[in-house]
Amino acid sequence: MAIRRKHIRTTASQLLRSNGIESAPVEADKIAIGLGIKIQYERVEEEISGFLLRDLSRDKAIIGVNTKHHSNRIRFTIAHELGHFLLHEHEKLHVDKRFMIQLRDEKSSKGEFEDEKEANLFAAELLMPIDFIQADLEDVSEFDLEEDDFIRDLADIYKVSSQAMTFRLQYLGYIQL
Amino acid sequence: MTENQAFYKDLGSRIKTARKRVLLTQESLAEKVSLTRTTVTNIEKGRQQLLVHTLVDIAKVLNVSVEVLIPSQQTTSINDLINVKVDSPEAQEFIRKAYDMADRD
Repeated sequence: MAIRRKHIRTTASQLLRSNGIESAPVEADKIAIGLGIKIQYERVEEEISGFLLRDLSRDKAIIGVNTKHHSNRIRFTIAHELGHFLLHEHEKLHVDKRFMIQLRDEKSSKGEFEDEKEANLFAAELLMPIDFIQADLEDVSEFDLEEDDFIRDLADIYKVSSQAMTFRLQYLGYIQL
Repeated sequence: MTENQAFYKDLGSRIKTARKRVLLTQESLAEKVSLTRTTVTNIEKGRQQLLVHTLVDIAKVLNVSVEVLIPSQQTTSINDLINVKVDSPEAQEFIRKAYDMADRD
């Protein structure tokens, strides 16, 4: 199964619209809570970044996040788990480790890997919506985009890491790496 | 680990329990349903996904209804799920704690 790019963008933008969110930074935690998900914050000395647990018998969902990580990372994790919640309903417990979000781990099957990619794309679409980025980059020249500071400042507005913003701008075709 | 593995692990342990109840060894169960003992071991450990007709045969030999052997969402407890899907004890603890906390409010 290929990554459902269109479906993911639509899902994220509908969620932003129904929450009345029109500018960055997007508060992924509030959106999750609005969907009836509980968020538990805990400091864990480990590579685990977060998890999603669905208790179907009691109609309950929990996103757990490791507060040991940077606040931008925590926001991304919440958005990522929210992606699993909305896109991968078959899964009852999903645990994300620090590097699994970007890299394929030996044990993970192709399906799992695609689920991760979808959850990542969802997080990007939610935290850095194309409309917001387009508006912010309307008057920006290609030259400015090449400045490191520019991407860092933009990342600060969206409260994401520079790395996440760089990936996003590349995905949207604004920059080439 | 995938969701299915948790399912088959549960299914396997149900078969094992039912087998012990009727005092059969893995070997004698294997013989009665035309499988090898290794296959029965793997099924009971959830490492092998069995065919439906085999499950029906097993249920017949163990004198239980098929439904008793099939895990349903309600019966797979959160605890079992955490044990099956999460390797590190600290991560297990993290998830259990969060689950308990969310239960409280």
